[in-house]
Amino acid sequence: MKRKLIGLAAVTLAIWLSSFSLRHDSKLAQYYWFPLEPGTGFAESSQFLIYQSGCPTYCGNFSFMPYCEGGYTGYTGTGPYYAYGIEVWVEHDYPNIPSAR
Amino acid sequence: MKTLSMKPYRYLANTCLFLLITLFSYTAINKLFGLTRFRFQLSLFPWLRVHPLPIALTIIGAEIGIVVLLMTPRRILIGFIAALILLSLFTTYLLIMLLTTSNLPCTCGGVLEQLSWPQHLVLNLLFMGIAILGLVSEKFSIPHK
Repeated sequence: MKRKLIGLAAVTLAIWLSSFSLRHDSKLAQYYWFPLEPGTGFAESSQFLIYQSGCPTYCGNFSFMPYCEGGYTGYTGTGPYYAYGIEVWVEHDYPNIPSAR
Repeated sequence: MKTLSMKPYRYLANTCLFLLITLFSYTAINKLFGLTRFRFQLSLFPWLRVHPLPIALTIIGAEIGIVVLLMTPRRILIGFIAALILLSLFTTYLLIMLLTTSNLPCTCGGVLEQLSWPQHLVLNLLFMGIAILGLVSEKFSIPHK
């Protein structure tokens, strides 16, 4: 009986947690993410190729430092990689600058 | 006296049980309600892109099956073993992909998809450890006749 309650509590917690993540609109489009030079906004080269729908710095690395990343439709190079194509998304976390999303 | 010494194992097994049920039901719910997206993401994966829908449904079914096993008192041991097998499969695939492919799409359910692949790998290993711990403590918590 106790174990059934533990199971039910776990499922309830999972449903509650899911309500937060399912609230976001699903983004089917995925981009290649590159760091942007804060002053100019130009994409810098990267040793890592990150291809996903959301900004990797904000979400992936739980960064405590300010960041600026751009999502591109393509890339060139084999490491380091260079941004290529259209810049479709900019994400940053600098104080006093409203979010670009 | 014997029952008393088994109590810590029981608590440990219950904690592992709680964590694994939370993980699998959370990821299953997110995949199920975002099936279109999950299918799309699977179609980007090497090897899995041929039949994304059956693979998506199999993964969701396996996760729900594990939750059911872990919630059935007489099937908890099997549940821990099944959880360990599924996590091992995910981890092996992830390891192979990380070693052979530089361009991996982002997937998994809910907030977990925000993790980078190395972070995901660490999380998988952590939950594999939890499954092993649960399996061992569950075995020790069962009184021998």
